[in-house]
Amino acid sequence: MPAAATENRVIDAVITRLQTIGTPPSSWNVATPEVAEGVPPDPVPVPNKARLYVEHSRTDPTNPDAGTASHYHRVSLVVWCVAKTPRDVATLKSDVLRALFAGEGTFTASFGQPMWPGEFVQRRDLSDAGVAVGQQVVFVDVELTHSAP
Amino acid sequence: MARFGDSKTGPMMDKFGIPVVLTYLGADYLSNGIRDEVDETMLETDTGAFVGRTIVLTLRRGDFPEAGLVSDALITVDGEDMTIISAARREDGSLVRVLCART
Repeated sequence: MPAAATENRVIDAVITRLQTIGTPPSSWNVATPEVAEGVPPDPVPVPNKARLYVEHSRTDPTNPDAGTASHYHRVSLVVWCVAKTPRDVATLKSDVLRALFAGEGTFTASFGQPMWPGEFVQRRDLSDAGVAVGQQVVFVDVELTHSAP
Repeated sequence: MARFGDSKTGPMMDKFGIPVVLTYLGADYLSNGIRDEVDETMLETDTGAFVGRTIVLTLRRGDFPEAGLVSDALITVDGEDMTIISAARREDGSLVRVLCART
């Protein structure tokens, strides 16, 4: 069986790191959050605990004028941070970045680059449901090999 | 001050409403209100959408102290504990629309 799609390997690596939040030996601002791939099909429950949803956003070529021997792409994900208040969301986001920064060695070994944080936006879309949401973009620049694109 | 429709909204709440209790400054205020509970797509994402559950109470303004209908106040709706997200007057001020979330 060939290697899994690059995007799926990146998602798996990010989820693995996010699942370390709330666990020793590091110290964290939030208790262990629920972590899942994709957004939930059911209504988002009013947060009694922090929740993180990871989805692939886009993959963009980073050197379209380069030769055909290498293909560098930026794989971008969105980590949706769900909590009760925007302040809780910001706190959760800080733990997300803390977890990803702590995994720099793992990401670099797997993809040749660390995971970079992109923009973070507080969203008010679910406020009428009593839910606060933050949108944290993270990305990694990878070389797509011919054997494992 | 009597408001337009006051004579109608009371019987309507009594017929279609459910019991609502607000505790404010140590006193319990009990009356009936109408609850609407709707699931709707609130945030589109790249691969799906977040669905949120909106709970809206419609109350007669005169039945509850407005100073108690504020964000983060606790309210009991048909025996369920909820938190008020926001409250706003409707119609000519005779009704109050209260957004709630389960605690």
